[in-house]
Amino acid sequence: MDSDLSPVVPLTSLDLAIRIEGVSHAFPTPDGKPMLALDDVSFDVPRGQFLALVGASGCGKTTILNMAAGLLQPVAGEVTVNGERVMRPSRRTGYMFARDGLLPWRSARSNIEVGLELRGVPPGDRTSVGSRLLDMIGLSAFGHAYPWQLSQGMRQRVALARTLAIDPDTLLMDEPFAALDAQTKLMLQAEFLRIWERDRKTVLFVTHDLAEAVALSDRVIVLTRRPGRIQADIAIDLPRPRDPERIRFDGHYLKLSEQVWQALKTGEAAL
Amino acid sequence: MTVRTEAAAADRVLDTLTRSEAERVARRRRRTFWVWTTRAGVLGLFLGLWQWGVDARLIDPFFFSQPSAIGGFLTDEIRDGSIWPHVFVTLSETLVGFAIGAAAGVAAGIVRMQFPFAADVSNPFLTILNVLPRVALAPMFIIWFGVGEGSKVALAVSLVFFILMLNTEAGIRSLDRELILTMRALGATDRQLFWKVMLPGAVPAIFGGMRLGVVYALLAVVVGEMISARMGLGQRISFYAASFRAEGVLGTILVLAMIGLMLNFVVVRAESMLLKWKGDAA
Repeated sequence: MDSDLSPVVPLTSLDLAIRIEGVSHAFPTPDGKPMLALDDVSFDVPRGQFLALVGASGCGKTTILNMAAGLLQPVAGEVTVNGERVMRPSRRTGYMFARDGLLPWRSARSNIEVGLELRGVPPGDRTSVGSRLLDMIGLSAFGHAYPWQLSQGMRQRVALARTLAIDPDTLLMDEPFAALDAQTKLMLQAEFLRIWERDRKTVLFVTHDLAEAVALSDRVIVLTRRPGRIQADIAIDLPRPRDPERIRFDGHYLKLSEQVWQALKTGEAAL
Repeated sequence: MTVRTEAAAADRVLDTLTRSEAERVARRRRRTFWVWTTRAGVLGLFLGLWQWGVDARLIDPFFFSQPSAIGGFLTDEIRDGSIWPHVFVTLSETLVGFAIGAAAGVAAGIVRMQFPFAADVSNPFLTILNVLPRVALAPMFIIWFGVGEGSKVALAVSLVFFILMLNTEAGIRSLDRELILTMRALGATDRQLFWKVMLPGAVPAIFGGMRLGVVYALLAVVVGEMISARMGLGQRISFYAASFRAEGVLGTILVLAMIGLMLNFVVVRAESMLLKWKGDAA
């Protein structure tokens, strides 16, 4: 497997999955003065790249994600996904949150299939996709279980399966493993990488966990403290397939982590 | 050798676990038995004291009647069948009033949550109607809908409607924002969001309203009957009260309590069947 991951290679619009162009955003504050959250951020994500966005809380990571998802419009600048300017949630984009957001009155299977149901996929096809994904996340025996009957890790697995069920071109992930305990987190990271390495969808992954960012991604963008600007853009040229549990002891991994950590420190100090 | 001892140890642990589980179940059964026995004892003591108090001339049966008289009254009423037409009238008025009020209340709650403009316009009017003691409207309802069933149904509707409208709205409003955001990100349209997230999410609150509503429907019907009616248990209560028959009033109240319990039981059963997804947490 050769490395086609370098972000500096010039890209045609076909290879481009996400383009963030001169994006600035502000939020209203209680005292009426708007607060600048993002200041002229630009970056491109090539198709098939796993990009992690890191930065201190409140640096606008999630804001960028919400814009790519079409849940939020930037005050200035443009967000393009698959060559189209994002105006509303796209049915080809999958979004996964830290909290699972499972519908409590639906079984695990029915939760996984809900995205297909929204798209009017006939029940027979939904069932086969549901079965395949239940199997993939190792919860075949829990298809009929309701969310309250599942552990936190199982619920997040179901949420992952729900996101994958709609077979999105692009995956937007907002700290998807943040609510899990350390052990479950490692397990799910490995599982997710295993699934991702099969078809390599474009991933925009927001996290405040440096280890997670370096272990999973092809590239890490570090944002500064509010207002968010790009502090560093670091290529993670670790070989794949990766095992996020073992890679923690790899020398190169440690060096890259150090680099990201330095960038983060500088970014936090910057004003 | 060690394997065998380990297996034996595991067996012992499982044995102990099974035993302690069986013990726990037995303890719970014993407790349930004593709870019921004590309840029966308290009731028996109360009725016995009442009966004895009257026999010993400490309590005036003219005002308080006594258990044996109430029991006699009820057996007579049931034996000659004279109570059943009244039970039927009261029950059917309650059910019809409840059904109309609940359906209209849920529909109004949904419409008001879907169309904020309609909600804003209707707010002051609905607030006035809701704070109004609805029983005060009973004379008007009797003028409009007659002394028959219509006026009682109307009174029940006027109470049940608001309970269900407000509960439906509260249920929709209290929905977890996370669920809406997730479903929107999954590509749900506004209409899908409503039918697949908001409405099912409001079902527990709607049932809470129904449990309250069914009791209020019975209350409204009985009050309506007491004011003016030809039939119904409320009318019977007025009649017995006017003829100074305490055992008739109390006996009829006992029948009403039974009807209330039964209605409540039906709603609770329907709720537990529809809300299976809540599990033990419900």
